Amino acid sequence: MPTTINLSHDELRARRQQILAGIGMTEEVLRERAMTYMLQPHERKAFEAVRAIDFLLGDK
Amino acid sequence: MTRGSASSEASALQSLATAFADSVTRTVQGVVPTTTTFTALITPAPAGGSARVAVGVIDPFSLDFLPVQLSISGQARLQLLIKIYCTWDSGTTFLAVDKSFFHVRLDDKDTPLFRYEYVRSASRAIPCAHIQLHAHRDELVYLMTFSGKGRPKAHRRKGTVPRLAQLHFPLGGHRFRPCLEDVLQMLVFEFGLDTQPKWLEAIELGRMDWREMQLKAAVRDAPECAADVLRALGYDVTSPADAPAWNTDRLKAF
Repeated sequence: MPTTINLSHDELRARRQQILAGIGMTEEVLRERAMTYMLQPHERKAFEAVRAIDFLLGDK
Repeated sequence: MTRGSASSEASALQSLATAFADSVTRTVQGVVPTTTTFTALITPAPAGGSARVAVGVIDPFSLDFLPVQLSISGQARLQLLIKIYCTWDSGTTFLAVDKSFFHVRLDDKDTPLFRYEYVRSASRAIPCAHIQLHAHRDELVYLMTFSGKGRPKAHRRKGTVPRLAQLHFPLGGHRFRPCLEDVLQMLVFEFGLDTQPKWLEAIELGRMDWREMQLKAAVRDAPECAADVLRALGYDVTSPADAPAWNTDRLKAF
């Protein structure tokens, strides 16, 4: 696996949309369930990926 | 910024991010038996912003951050999720850690056992470097709502039941916080993880690098303090007329 992955902001936004669509819940519900530790393993992975993408996009 | 300088900045970022991800891989593979490799996910700087890097064990297709599997007596027993977010430092010279997450879990369940975290721009209510324990202790939860001020007041206002995991135990601030090597050594000693033959050497080398880097950063926070110590040790140090101001925000930070 390469040591780096380079993604543009547009690519990151598209990935973000795909991730949220893939777990079938809104971002608000995802965050709410994450706060109360009620995520299934695949949902938690999606949550962590969305958080990382938000950081990369400059959203705090 | 000129086109040329933007290009050289991107190239420098690529090199630094690669070196950083490789160094985390080297440390982890040097300590525990794993073939896991770390990747840096890089995005270019937006107009007026800074390029950003996220380092972890990243699935390139799903962008999932995967944990390092840790074993005890040959059996998978613990998981360590490592995520490190970086940006350029103020001089666009080094990668600065913006946030880091070292989460220890039993398995794929959502709740970690405990987590070490660092948030460079933490709110004043939580320490920038902290540990959170996912455990239960009734007396602590009682105290977390007892007072009429601070976070207890906020818990009461929201009407939420606090959890012990919401306590942020401070860990030394920006410069003196624990490094990944400290967490790994703690896991090895306390839980008897399976290790590589020269694991302690890998830990100590990594920790020396970390502390040297943090020491340099601490000196930049308070250069005259460093100069005083060097003079006391016999060094000939002359302070410049326009000596940089102390970074009191960093020195005072929770």
